[in-house]
Amino acid sequence: MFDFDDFLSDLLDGMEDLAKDMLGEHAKEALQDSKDFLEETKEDLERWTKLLAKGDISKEEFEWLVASAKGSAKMYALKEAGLTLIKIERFKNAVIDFLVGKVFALIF
Amino acid sequence: MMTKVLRHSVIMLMLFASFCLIAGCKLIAEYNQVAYEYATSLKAEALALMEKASEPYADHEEDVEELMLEVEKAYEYANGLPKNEISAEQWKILKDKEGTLLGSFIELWKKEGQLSEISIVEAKEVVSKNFDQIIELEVARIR
Repeated sequence: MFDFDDFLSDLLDGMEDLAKDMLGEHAKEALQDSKDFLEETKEDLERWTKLLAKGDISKEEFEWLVASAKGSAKMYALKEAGLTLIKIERFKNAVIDFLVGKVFALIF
Repeated sequence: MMTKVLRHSVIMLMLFASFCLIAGCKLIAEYNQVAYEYATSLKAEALALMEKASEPYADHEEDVEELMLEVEKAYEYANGLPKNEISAEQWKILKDKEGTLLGSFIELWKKEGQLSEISIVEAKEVVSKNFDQIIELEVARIR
């Protein structure tokens, strides 16, 4: 006799595996990307400070460059937010495909 | 027993209906070729114009106005697409004259008259990377 609770438990296990594979990897990548971005920003600020000290750039040019780090951080954060939405969208579609597949296998 | 079967059938139907509803709900706009072309072509045009910032602004004022008009068009296009708020916001930040990226670079050039070649090299790198944030997000939508 068909055990509905077993079926639901099987569905949940499958969805958990999908979440770990698809979203877990994305979280790791996003964290590393953020670290890389911060490191690059730090290097940029150090370089610009040296250029100002050497007199290679003016105070106004230096101020623009330093301020640009703020805008760059916003742009980066927006991109990451968008990438996360894309990943969630793909996860959602993968879950639906998985569930529909399971249900059809049950019926036919 | 009949009640249990009926209950399970109702749950299955509700689950199926939910899948259909969720499948139709988009979280973010799909890939758009026009948006991609705006970003890639304006990146090249913006960087080429920034290169001229070592020359007097007055000599390039028309070119600046043309570029910023195109950037405005790109923003309006992005802003008009449904579920595309993130990309629209990126264009808005990029073009903002009172911000800290392309729009304000133009204002700096205008105010100072002309800029040092070293600062232009650095500023181009900044603007290039920020155009890449827009392009990368667009490309990521391709399935």
